[in-house]
Formats: sequence, C-alpha cells, structure tokens
Amino acid sequence: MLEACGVGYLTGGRWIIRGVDLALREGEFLAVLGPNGSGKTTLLRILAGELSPSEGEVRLWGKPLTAYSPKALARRRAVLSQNRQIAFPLTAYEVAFLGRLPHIRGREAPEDHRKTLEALAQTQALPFSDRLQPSLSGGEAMRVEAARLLNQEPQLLLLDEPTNHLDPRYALELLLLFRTLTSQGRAVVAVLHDLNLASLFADRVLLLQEGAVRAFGSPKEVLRPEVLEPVYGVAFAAVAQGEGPPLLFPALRLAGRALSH
Amino acid sequence: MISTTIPHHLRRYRKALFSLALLLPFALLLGLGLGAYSIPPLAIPQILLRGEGLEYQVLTALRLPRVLGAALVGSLLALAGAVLQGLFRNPLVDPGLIGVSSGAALGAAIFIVLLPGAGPLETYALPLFAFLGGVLATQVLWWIARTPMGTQVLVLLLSGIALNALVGAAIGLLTFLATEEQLRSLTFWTLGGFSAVTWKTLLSGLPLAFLAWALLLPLARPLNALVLGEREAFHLGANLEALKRRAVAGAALGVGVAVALAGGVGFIGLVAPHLFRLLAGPDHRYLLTGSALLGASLAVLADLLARTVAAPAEVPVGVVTALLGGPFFLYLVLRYKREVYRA
Repeated sequence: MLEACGVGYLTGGRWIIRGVDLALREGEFLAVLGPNGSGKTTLLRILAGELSPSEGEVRLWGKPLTAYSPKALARRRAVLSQNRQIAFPLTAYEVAFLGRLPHIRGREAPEDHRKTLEALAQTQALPFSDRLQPSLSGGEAMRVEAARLLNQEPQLLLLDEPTNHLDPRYALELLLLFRTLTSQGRAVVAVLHDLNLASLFADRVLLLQEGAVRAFGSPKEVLRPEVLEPVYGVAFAAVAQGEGPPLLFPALRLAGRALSH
Repeated sequence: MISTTIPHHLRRYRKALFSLALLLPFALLLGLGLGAYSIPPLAIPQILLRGEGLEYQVLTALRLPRVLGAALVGSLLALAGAVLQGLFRNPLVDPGLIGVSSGAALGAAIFIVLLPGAGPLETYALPLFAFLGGVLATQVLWWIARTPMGTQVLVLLLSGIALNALVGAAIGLLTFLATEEQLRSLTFWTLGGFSAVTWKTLLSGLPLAFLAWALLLPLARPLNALVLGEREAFHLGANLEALKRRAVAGAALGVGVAVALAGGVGFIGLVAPHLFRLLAGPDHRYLLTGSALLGASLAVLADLLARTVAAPAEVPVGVVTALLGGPFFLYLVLRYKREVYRA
C-alpha cells in the first residue's frame, strides 16, 4: 500500500536521507531503527506527506502523496508525532474528537461523538476524558493521543517514538494495541529506539545509518549483533530467552578504538 | 455500553453562548437608552415601532448608528483577536500584532497632517485612508513572512513588532509636523471613539464586516486542530496555507473596518476571547461566536461608560477600554504565571 522509491531529502546543503526504498503491505508492522540523527524522523515526516522529498517519490495505493489533498490524506493515514505542546487546555475528549476532523462534512453527527467515546474506551482513556489534556500524566496523555489516532480510522499509522516517556507496561500496552490494528489489515510504521520492542512487535525492520538504508528485512535478519555493531558503533550481546527472539543488550565494553581512549 | 449523554463541558459552552446571546440585546437597549437625553430602555422597541416623536429622532439620528457601530466594531475586534490567538497559538496575541492597527493609524495620520482641508470629504476619506493603511501594512507583513516552505507565523509576529516600531516613528514625525488643530484630531483618532459613526459610514463598512465574519467564523475546526500544533493540524487534514491566508485576510479586513469606524480602540480583541475561555473553554467552535457576541456587548458598555461617566463631557472610549482592560490583562498574566508554576 505504501512505497518509497529512491527518496532523498536535502536541506542546508546536506542530505538528511538519500536513496531510501521501502514497501509496506496491508497488515504489516514496520519498525524504523537507527542511531540518533540517522534520519528516522525525517523519513517518517516524508512518508506522512508533511515534507516533500528532494528526490524520489512516495506512493500510497499507487498514487503519489502529492496527489492527495490534506483532508483525503488524513482520512487514510494518521500520525503520532513527538510534539506534546498544546496551545490551549482542551479536554482529553476534545483532543480525541479532533480525530474525526477529516471525516466531518458540514455539521458533526452524533456518530462522530459515539466513535470518539468508543476510541477513548478502546485505549482505556474514558475515565479521564473530561480532564484537561495538560493535566494528564505522560501515560494518560499518550492514551488520549492513541484514541485520537484510532478515531481518524486510518489504514496507515505512522508513529514517531510512541514509547518515549512511557514506563515498560504502558509501552507494551500501546504497542500491543497498534499490533492488534495490523490484524485488521492496517499498516503501521513506527520509529523505535528499543531494539527488543522492535524484535517483539515488528514484521520487518528498516535500519538507517547516516540517512541511508543499512538493512531491511525481518527482525531475525536485521537485529543481529554483527549487523547492529557497525551502525551503532557499540558491541551488542544477544541473550537467548526461551522460545522468543534473543534479547539484545549493548555490551558494556565500548567498541572500536575511537571510543575507548 | 457507552453512554451518549452530552459531556458536561459541552453544556458549559452552550450555557455561556446562550447567556452572551442574551447579554447583547440587554447591552444594546441600555446603550440606546442612557445618555444626555435618557429614554427608558424597555420602551425603546415601542418607540422605534411608532416611528415618530423626539425620542424616535434621538434614537435613529444619534444613538442607533453609534450603538450599532460600537457593537459592530467590538464584535470584529474580538473575533479577529480570537482567530489570531488561535493562529499564533498564543493567548497573548492582540489583533494589532499583524500590523493593521498601526498601519491604519499611519494612514489616518497621513490624511490628517498631510492632506488638510478635505472638508466634506473627511467623513469618508479618513476611514478610507485608515482602512487602506491597515490592509496594506498586513499585506507587507504577509509578503515578508512568505517562504518556499510555507508562511512562517513567527516571522509574521516578529516583523509585526518591527513594523509597529517603524510606524510609531513615522507617526511621531507627522506629529512633529502637525499644527495644534491637527494634533488634536490625531490624538482623538488614536484614542478611539464611536461619536463619529454615522449611518453612512456604518452602512459602507457593513459589507466588508460581513465578508470578515464569513471568512473567519468557519475557521473553528482547523483552528481547533492547530491547538495541537502546526504539524498535527496538517496530519488531521487542515490545509495550513489556506487557513493562514484566510485568517490573516479576514482579521485584516475586520480590524481595518473597526479601526476605520472608531479609531484605535484597544484591548477588546485581547480581552473578549480570554473572558470566553474563562467562562467556558478554548474550543473554537464556541469561542469564535462567543467572543464576537461578548466583544459587541463590551464595546457598547464601554461606550456607554465613556459618554456618561463624565457627562456632559465625553471620555475617549479607548481610555475606558485601556483603563479596564489593562488591569484585567495584568490579572490574566498573573493567573497564567500561577498556572505555569503549578504545572
């Protein structure tokens, strides 16, 4: 449903990403990994249609992103960005309701309010839906944001570090929620930092380094110490855990001479 | 399983809107009735229907254009303020920040000082100069803030501040050149007031006011999305460039008409949206209409105060709004400061 061909983004005389190819099918969960500054967020913003690539093209269901109006695009894809700066204290309900925006033509219907309540219930945010968004804890605010995304009824979800600031339980719950969405045929692209969460939830992993794709494949293929070490510049230890994928830890000894002086 | 009762914050919005819709006719009747020649406010509808007599003359020739002008100006300033605060995502924005007010003041100053003796033309020409000055200044700011990446709202705000300083200098220079008499009319214009509003100026401003309302009132939903941020608004399907263009054009038009009719009436555009947010909340679907209603009532009441408090003399209405608005604004700042500390 989503494909990027030779995508590059040039700003300030520097290529932030270049030559990125990827393809995403319905029902797939793609994790984008890479060190800080490797271009993960820029790639996500390009996939969202927010930045137009300096070269290459992104297509959604065969049509270039630029062919969609902002509203038509918003009915098909939703984005969870890292920004948590709300200008005026809307209630959690009002924030979640904004997800209906691309679907409303003319007056809003009772249907829109019913769907908002359902989305809030699905992310377990209903108990605090009357509270002001700025007064919520990080975990609560994230559930409201997730409800807003669900409320948008998108086929494609783009998530920029969704587990940032979340404790392990919230992080698991949130990714589990998005994972269940893929079983309904929706696709998810998530920028993640946690390698083990990526190996737990993703069908495929895209590994970026300095704006270029270093590896693209199943977690089993990509999340191996010998692939990760040159990208992150640190040694990794893989610890077997029962039947699941091996757990990855950065080794305490720093790799390479450049870091050890 | 899920109850579909109206959330209680929705009820708060509706209650606020309903009370403000009741406040406006009350303020209008009060404004029409009280003054140098008092008319019982409740008898006014009857007198207007009868269509004759001294009281009818006073109402139609003096009070009605003035009071309706005040309501029009107040609603335009408050609506423009609410929209611009939403657009800049900043509750401290005043409609003056997009250059309309200072541009209009410069237009008026140029007319008063450099084109003296316009005589009978003055009723139309002065508002026209003010209006053109205001709209032109905003156009310049808009042109400065354009970039290939889209219009930069922060640049718009900063260049607005720069323009205000520049215009202040130009007006200072004109003041230096002005005669005593010109100085007096310039000062009165800057302080603002509704005594100069006539049926003619009111009716010629009305079509533009309607256009401003029509441009601004439908922006509620995209402005709500903008509360989350510019990127989030785009993710939710808002056409940001169209929104910015329409908001700035509508606000420039509305404030341009307001300033042309009444001069520099300050604080209503800043305070009315704040009052509504305190009463109900920040949802723009209610805030825009609510601010417009509240701004209209505030302007009518401020004008009433201006012409009765020192009767038979008349205090400039800009002095009244500043005198009441200044401390209120300070109170808001202190309140927000507390909220910041509490967070």
